[in-house]
Amino acid sequence: MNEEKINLNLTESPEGTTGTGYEDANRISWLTENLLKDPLKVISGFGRLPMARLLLNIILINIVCLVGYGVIVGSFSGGIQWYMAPVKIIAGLMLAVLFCYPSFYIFSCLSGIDVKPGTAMLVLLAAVSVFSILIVGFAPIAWVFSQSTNTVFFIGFFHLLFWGTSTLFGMRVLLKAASSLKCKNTFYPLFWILIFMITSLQMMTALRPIVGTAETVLPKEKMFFMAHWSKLFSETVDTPKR
Amino acid sequence: MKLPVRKLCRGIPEELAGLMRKPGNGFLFSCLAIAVICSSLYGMSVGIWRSPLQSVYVAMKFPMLILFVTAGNAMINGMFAKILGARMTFRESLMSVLMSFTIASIILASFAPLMLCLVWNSPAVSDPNSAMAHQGILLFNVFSIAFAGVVSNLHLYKLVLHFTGTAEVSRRIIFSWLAVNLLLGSQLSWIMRPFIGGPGGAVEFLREKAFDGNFFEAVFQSAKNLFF
Repeated sequence: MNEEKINLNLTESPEGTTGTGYEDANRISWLTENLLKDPLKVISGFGRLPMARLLLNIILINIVCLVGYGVIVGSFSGGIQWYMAPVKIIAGLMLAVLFCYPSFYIFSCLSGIDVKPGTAMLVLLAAVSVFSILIVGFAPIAWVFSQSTNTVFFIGFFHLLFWGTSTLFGMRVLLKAASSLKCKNTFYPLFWILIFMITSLQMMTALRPIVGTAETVLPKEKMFFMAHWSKLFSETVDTPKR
Repeated sequence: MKLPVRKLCRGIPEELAGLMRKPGNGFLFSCLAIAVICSSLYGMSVGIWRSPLQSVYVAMKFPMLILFVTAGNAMINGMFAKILGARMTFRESLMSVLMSFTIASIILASFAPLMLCLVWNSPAVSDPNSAMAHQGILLFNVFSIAFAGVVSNLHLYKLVLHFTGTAEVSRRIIFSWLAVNLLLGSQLSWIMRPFIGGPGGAVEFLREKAFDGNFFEAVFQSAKNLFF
């Protein structure tokens, strides 16, 4: 793991990309591998790599991984859910990132990190990419459960488990980046992670059904995610059926 | 004019004191601009649940509340700083309090998208469950303001400590500033209500009897009704 303090000054490219381990940085495979293996190497490369290409690759990784996982989620119900589930998962995550980004930047500054808004967005997207890569890794397990589970509550529970695990690893990248960027108070990043998790869960509830089916594409009733899960649990206990 | 949002949030006392001591009023106006813009954004997100007009009203009232409290307490805050042993000028104490409100406004503005998300996910005013939505928005509002207040005052404490050099004196000054700001702030918010706007209440800039009663009287009456 790269334990060095990282420099995120995006205006300077002092060392270029040659001879520093960034020769293949334009390749998606390099980015994917390093996001998992050594995310700080990717983050510290923000100042040295071509920004537009890096951003495009990050977005591509996210879209491909989330579409892959979304299709597996949609396979539980079939029909329009084959394409609605991936669309909703991408939209939900994107909205959660947009809603939480201002607080992410402000919390980063409050914790003592000297970071520019654009760089903060890239760090956040890198963490989200780790989440997306990991969650698509869970796709085969999710598919097996989709084919052998009959109730929305249970398959939803498994997706939640995969979602939570992937989020924790994604957010771990943020904590690593924060500590490398001389974060003086870890309370702020930790508190922000809690905000992000609640917001992303709420977004998935707002865009339901992602698992299962309904009369309408978007819900008629607005609900807090805890209330939704509690209702789903009660329905499962009363009448367990697909 | 470059707005020093990052410097304010990072809250490094030496850096902030340096900005305060710069000749001219550039930093003062920057803080004012940030406080007005940021508190306006948050106010807008708070009022939007009730109606777009309420949102415009609250976007105007939030910055007014901050400016009134800062200006109204400028004199007494400056006096407290001197009487409690800080080597701070009136300008420095005024700037410190304004900076603390500015930091709180920045934090609140960063919560504005979350507030919008909450409003989007809450039943509308016309919905039978609107009372619950109102309570939820109220709770989030209280939490946001409390969080922003605590963080901004921690920043303020570090800055005052930089000026005084003594933790004990800094604590006394912060406590006295907090007390008078709370006193005036709570009453001004009472006068300037409604902010969120209840489901049954009218959309208005100020209540018809805005100056009728005071915040502490209302708290006392509520406690009396609850316990006696």
